Amino acid sequence: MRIDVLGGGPAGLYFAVLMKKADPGHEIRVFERNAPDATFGFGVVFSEGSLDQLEDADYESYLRITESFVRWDPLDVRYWGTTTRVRGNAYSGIERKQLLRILQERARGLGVELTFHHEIASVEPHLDADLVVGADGANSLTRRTFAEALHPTVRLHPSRYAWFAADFALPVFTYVFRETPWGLFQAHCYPYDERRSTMVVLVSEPTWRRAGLDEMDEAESLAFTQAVFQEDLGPGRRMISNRSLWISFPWISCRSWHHGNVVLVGDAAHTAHFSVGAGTRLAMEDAIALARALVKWKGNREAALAEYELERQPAVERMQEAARVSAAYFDSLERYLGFEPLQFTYQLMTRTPRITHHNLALRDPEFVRRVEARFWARATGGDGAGPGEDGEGRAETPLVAPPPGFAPLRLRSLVFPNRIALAPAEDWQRELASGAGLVLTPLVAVSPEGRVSPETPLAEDLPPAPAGVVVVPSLGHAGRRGATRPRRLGVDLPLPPAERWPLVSASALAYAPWMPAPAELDAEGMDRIVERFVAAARRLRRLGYRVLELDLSRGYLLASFLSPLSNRRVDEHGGDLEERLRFPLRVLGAVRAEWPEDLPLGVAVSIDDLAPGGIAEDEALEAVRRLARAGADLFRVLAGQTVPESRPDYGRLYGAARSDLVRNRCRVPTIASGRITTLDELHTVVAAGRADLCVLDLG
Amino acid sequence: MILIGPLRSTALLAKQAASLDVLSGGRLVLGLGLGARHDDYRTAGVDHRRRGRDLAQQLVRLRLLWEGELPGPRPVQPDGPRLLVGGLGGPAYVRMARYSDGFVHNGGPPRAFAAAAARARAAWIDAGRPGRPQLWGQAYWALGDGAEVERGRDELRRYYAFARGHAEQIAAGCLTTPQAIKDLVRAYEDEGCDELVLFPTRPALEQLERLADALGGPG
Repeated sequence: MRIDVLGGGPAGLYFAVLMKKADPGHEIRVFERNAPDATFGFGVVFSEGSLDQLEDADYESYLRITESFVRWDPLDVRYWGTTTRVRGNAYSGIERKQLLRILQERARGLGVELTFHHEIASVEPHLDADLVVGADGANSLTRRTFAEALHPTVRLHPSRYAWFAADFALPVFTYVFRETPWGLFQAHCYPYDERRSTMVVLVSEPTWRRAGLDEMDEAESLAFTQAVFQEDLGPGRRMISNRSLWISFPWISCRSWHHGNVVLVGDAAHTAHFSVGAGTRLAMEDAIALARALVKWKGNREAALAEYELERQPAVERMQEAARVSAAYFDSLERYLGFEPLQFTYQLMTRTPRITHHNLALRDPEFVRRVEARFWARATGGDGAGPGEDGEGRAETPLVAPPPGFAPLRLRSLVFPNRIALAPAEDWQRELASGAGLVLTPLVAVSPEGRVSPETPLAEDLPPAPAGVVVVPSLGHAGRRGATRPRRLGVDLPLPPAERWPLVSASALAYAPWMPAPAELDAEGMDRIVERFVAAARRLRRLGYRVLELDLSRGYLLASFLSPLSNRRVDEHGGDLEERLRFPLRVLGAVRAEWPEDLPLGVAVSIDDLAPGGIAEDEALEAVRRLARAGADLFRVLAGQTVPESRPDYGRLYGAARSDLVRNRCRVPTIASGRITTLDELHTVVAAGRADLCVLDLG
Repeated sequence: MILIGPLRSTALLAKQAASLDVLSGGRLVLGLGLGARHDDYRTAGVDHRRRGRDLAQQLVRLRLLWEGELPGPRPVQPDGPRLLVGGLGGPAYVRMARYSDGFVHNGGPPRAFAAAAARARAAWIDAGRPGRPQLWGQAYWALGDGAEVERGRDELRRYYAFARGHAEQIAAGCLTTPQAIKDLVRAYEDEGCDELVLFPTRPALEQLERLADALGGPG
């Protein structure tokens, strides 16, 4: 085969090595625009897991690469002027120049033709080769040339980052977080040889502008950034710049990675945010998979390229997904700056769902023991582990404690025995001996017209509060989603006309085309419903319930006021947030006045309609703050169902991110709900301060 | 039976399905999806952009028609034929969970099925449905010598030619050894698949015999 490789980075060189090794008869040429020893970005990082593949693919280069590695196992988090160390994170760093040198020598030794200083102006002259490999990086000309067939998307990440180095070797991978008058500065640093470290510095776009970095030249920006981190660097130590420009990370993906005899590898085909440190690894794994597929399918190029794509795309997509979560975490970090260092570090370590409490305990049992003990101390001391409270000194920290999901939670005078919630779709009384700390009932209607279906219980139908487990009746009114059949066959299937009852909602808009239209709730109706809520609360109190939840979610009556999709009123109950929230707040205020002062009240709230034209994030958060000021103590954070057609993402732990947003932006206790399916995940979400309680979805 | 819902008149489909349910003694399972071809919609004169909403409405109407509004034979199954919905992506899972009895996956390695099944279950819980969704999987296969297997793959390449790059991927995923079929069946079972449909790619009876041998053997 005659193969032209465009781009002499790790992906291109490694592919050339593997192909030439597989069959010395291949004629392979690599074209690189820079000099052999020119490189930008200082060092690259590998996780230990990726090395087995390199070992199998080409033992000779593997040996040379690993000989050049700087390895470390712990990582340090510098925050609040303290350093927290977590062990068990096996990573290696290597100078990028050294990696390229090794691969160049190996390629040359095998007989690959390397051409440097060769700027590719057009892919055209290479197309007569049997295979053209676009290894030309994030700005790939190959990808742009065949954009029509490959369907690439390139999206710029909103924050700014720059690659610097430090003139000394840090002992281990180190995250540095520095609060400055302009905003948060983060540095992700790792040693790459005995004398130097890479420092990737990350700031938000507003911080970048406030600091004036947008108007500084390279020398000024270096001096400024060095001053920010001088205390972390240590006296006399310097940062180094090498074309260290502040750029926005480009997210690249392509629907197809090949077209005819052209195929993409590495950054040309896909990128994953640098905070997961996977770019070089993914590129070299691409090279391995492509070479393997070509060997396997010998003459059949199309089948080989298809198999390469089939193997690599899912793996890359998984890493991109993890990287998206990771990048979003580093962007939203300012919300955690009130966490004490141990929990802050835990949150950082578990930022993607790939690392859980249990994984972390295997990596560093001592760290997890300390986290559990601190969590327990905060949960049992003072008035609980409320968001943003460090609880330092209030209670003695034990030596050992149960995992965070088993810590109690106190709200007002009520103590939930643990953080595990169940929210069955029906028959909640079956869960009383489940061991969960609380059981949320399905909707309990305040009135017969407020039922979802004829099977929806009314407050007066509830049995006396069971002993032991905390049962949380979810009190509400179905609004325009009422008068439907039980959900055995589907949701929002209307009852036969003769069995329906009249519906009310914020506005006279049917929930779906096949649903009956509700009447707009009038002033008299509002008074009646407020009375119903109060009467139901009184009744539940008499039955011995110690907490209840008001339903302001999923398109039911109170939620229909909150969302602009279902509230088109022109009176004082429609319009801006204050008006849309007026009736729900009135209900909450009336119930709060009835409900004993020493007992908590929860709210189930949809903070995102997951549909165009729905409530904005800032509005939803402001609504939560106002509900909290009006006496709500606990928020079950939900989304969607305001309208039947929505665009949810049911990814792993999908409810945790939403809960995190509300808990740490509004500083209120929350219940997370949404694909938390194991106790391990639950411990992780709770320990990381992303929720105070979690609804566990078992099987 | 799997078909593209929005292309069909709902009343007629309800009637046809009811008749089939009667003829099969209550064994009909009706799978509905949106399909992947634009030209199906163009040819049928159906608005492609409304297809999601149309399917939702169709699913609701099927239930209501089977329950009483439909003239003609009534389905044997008391709630009408079981409805399954396919399609990946948030809106598809929502439709599945809100209006049907379960999910049909579009095929692929067990890991892909597992990921989709987990989303289907999450959507089901989110919709407030009791119980759990039925989960169906599917796979293509061809058993025999190299040439026969390649003809099976060619059939998939031809059938999926409209999907361009994906045709080759689907052909590459075709199961071509008894072991591969056995492994897939076991892995799907482990991931909670209730029914696995094995689609032959060669129109020959001995294919089915080979499949029976493959699945009947030890292990």
